[in-house]
Amino acid sequence: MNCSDTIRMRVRRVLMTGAVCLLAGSGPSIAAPCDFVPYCEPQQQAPVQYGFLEIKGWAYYCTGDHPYYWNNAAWGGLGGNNFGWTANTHFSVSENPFAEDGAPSKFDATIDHLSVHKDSIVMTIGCSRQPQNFPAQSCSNGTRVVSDPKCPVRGAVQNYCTQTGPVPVCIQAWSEQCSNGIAMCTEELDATWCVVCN
Amino acid sequence: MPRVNNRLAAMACQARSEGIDRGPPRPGRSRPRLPALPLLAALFLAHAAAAPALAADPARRGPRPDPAFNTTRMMTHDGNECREVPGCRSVHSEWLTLADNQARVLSVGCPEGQPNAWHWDTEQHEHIYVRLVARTRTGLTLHASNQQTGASGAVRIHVGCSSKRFDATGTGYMVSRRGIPSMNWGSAKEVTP
Repeated sequence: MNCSDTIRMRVRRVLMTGAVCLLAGSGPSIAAPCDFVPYCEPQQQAPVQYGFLEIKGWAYYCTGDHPYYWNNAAWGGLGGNNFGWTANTHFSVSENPFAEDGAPSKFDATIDHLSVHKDSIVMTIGCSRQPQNFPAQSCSNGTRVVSDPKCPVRGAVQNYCTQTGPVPVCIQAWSEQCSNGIAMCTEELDATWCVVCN
Repeated sequence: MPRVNNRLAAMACQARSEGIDRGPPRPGRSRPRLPALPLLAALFLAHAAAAPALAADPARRGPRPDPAFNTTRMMTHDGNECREVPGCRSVHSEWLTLADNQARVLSVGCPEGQPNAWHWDTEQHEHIYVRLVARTRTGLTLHASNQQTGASGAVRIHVGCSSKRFDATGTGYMVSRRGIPSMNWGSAKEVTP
């Protein structure tokens, strides 16, 4: 292999890496957990080790009294990513919304490690007290979180169970018709709360 | 089925109405001229000569193997099966070899003392794609496939086992693992910082 071949190969490698990074639109700078998500807390996940040039699919779940993960891509991507990560080398993270269907707590992603160094990544996801399907646009003065107002229940009560093991963790969600609009309520373990219009 | 038949019948009608099945030539229109006999003979000979060569070309027999994969690169085992797992014991499957384009399903169970399956990791060739397809309390079922590279590949699964029941809170779980085709990274090798 002569010198020009070596240079050509290096240039090709640099261009390829650059193209992959550009296409992936990756980088924690554009990925801010909890951006545009109400009643949100960032939930940091355990570090995961990655080897040289590999892709892993990974599922993470919002838990506790902030059980709802919001996929902001549902707004045409205008909301930005509701996730972020820290790592020392180059990673690219793409969310898989179809794999989150019917699981309001789930964040599903394909994580590419575009580096020749071993590294670990720490993911953080934005988790909310408010379900993403709450019709917030119907509340002209914003919303607030309250205890159950005990208004008449409308529609069916939904049970969402996270199938991550033999003992599923379930949340129960329902809506109530109050005089000032809809209340969307959640019960998880012994805690119950509702999001209502102001 | 009758619906399909109806559709076929409709297509045949449409074909006839568009003149594909023209029937005998109509009076007043000139008959199409036949190509010259020497031209037909030349086409036949050219086709006959090319046929064996086409049959011998493997690319013509099926999809081409992906040359971007480095089929000798073994992706290391990073020990993720025991991360955040209380009292973890790692168990592993036998090596599984997959021929080109082959797929297999395999299950890995946990031992009696630590019967609860938690996370998983692999040692595998770059061109093997492994994904989690099912989980029970005591074991994991995975699907491993060789991504049409023209070469066989191997994989071994590692599972973290514990006396405590699996809990994905704060850890999530891995769904799949595969390599990024590294042939175009030239002579790049894994580097430990």
